[in-house]
Amino acid sequence: MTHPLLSVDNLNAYYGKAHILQDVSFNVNELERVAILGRNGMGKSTLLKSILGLEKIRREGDIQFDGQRTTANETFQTANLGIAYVPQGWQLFPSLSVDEHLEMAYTPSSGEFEWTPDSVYELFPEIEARRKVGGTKLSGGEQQMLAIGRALVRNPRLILMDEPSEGISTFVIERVVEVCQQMAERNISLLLVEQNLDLALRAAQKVYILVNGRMVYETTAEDFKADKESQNHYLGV
Amino acid sequence: MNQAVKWVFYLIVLLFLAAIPFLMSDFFTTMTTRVMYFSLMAISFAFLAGQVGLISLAVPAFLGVAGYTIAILETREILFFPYSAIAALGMVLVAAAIFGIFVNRSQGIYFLMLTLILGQIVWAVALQWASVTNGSNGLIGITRPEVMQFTVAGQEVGFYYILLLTVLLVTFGVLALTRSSFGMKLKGIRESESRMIMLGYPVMRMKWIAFMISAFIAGLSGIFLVYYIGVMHPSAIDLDSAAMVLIAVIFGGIYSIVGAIIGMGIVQTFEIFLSAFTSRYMIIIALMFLFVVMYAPKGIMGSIYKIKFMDALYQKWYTGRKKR
Repeated sequence: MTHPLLSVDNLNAYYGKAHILQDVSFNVNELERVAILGRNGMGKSTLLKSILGLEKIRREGDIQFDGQRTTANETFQTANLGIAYVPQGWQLFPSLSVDEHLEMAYTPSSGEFEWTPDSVYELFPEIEARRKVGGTKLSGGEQQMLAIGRALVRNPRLILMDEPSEGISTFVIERVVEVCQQMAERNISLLLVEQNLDLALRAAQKVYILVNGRMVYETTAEDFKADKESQNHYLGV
Repeated sequence: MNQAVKWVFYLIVLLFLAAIPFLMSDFFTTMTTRVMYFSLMAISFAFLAGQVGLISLAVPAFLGVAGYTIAILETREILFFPYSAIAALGMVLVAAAIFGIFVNRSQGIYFLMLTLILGQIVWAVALQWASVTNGSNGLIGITRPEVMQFTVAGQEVGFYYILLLTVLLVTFGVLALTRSSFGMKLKGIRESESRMIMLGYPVMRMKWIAFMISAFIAGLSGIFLVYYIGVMHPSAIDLDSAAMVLIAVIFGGIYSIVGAIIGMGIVQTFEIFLSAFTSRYMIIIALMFLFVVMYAPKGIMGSIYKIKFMDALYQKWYTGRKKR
């Protein structure tokens, strides 16, 4: 039986009385890279947080990871199924060094390819030079690299990335795009939420548009790139 | 400090500690012994406070659970060493597992208050449940196990050496733990519980395990205490002893395990020496405490690092001047 790696079916999410996500449905297939685009305040971050069961978000609907329902899970149980999270603002720890961040998160994997702290340093030599530096003392770009590295060494099957373009230079955006494009080679799928159209269209294969908590449009990255009219209509670019 | 110099330093300290029963007076040996078993309590406290960010005033309660378990079992001739000690540690773990469920969901000042209450409950039980604990008279006549009484060159050093070995093992064990992946996760919890939850870690379970590790170490302290003084009395686990641990660890530096041991050494030494001159010795300790909190909030170990840092700054300034 083939089922999508992550399937979200008729998800409704509420912060208190505020109804944020309304009947959201979408899939991420194995080794697929999916971007969810939308302007500020459309519910993109809430969507990722609902998948992980974070904060006091009330959820209705069905979320399945690899065929298993996760809606009754604690966050760590969902994460242990093989989901790693690169949160907005990176959420690093001031008193842990770069080394310690990676060592803390490192989860050995039995798969054919394993991410280790060393292979992260190979990918991001910039942060290798700053191994002993406290996580929050890094530059924005370096913090982004560390946050991605920290997700990789958990050897997940799916990475959730929340606005990786925020607060980093165009150079680092290039690096992030490259890493995203390579993920399938390493058996990792990607779900990205982003405002930055350029980054999202290059990092992902499939695109969903979220407007006011509803999924209004679904297309491939290639088609959307060509479709200036839809871009303007949904995102106002 | 250079790595090799550091190890040589540790070795010298260790040799000195091992030689104390032969070189020093009985009084000094007794004092060192006392410092060592209270050090275990300080390590227990410093591990939770420094590494996980949880200030637990229930540390003496676990000393009490262990001490009373042994005292009750042995005075009633139910079990003897080593089974009584194993039972004591088992009781400590059970108690910590149950207490842990209650206190784990809280942080900061609420954790402190809850552990204070738990500590007081254990103390009150020890005081009031006279049919089992013998109340304020305490349980007396617990004898030191034979294995702890061996002699070297005519000097009875068994208890001292076993205690020294235990303190060493616990210290290195805790240091290794703080440097492990689990230790780093605990530090992550110290900095931000919500961030660790967000990253997908079972924060509650980890805090619970840390709480039990800390209790286990305090339990070891209780075992040595009861075998050393042969008495288990409620005053060993009252609020004063919680305050004593707190003061010692703040003296030494809350983020340092070695600092906790040094802090306990200082507090115990001052208590003994000052009490020979005045019964108001607590005033002097309190003034010192005030000084430490105001001028060296990271304690003695923190100040050592600060000195090193100043040294580095000076070097930088000096080489800068030379270039000009």
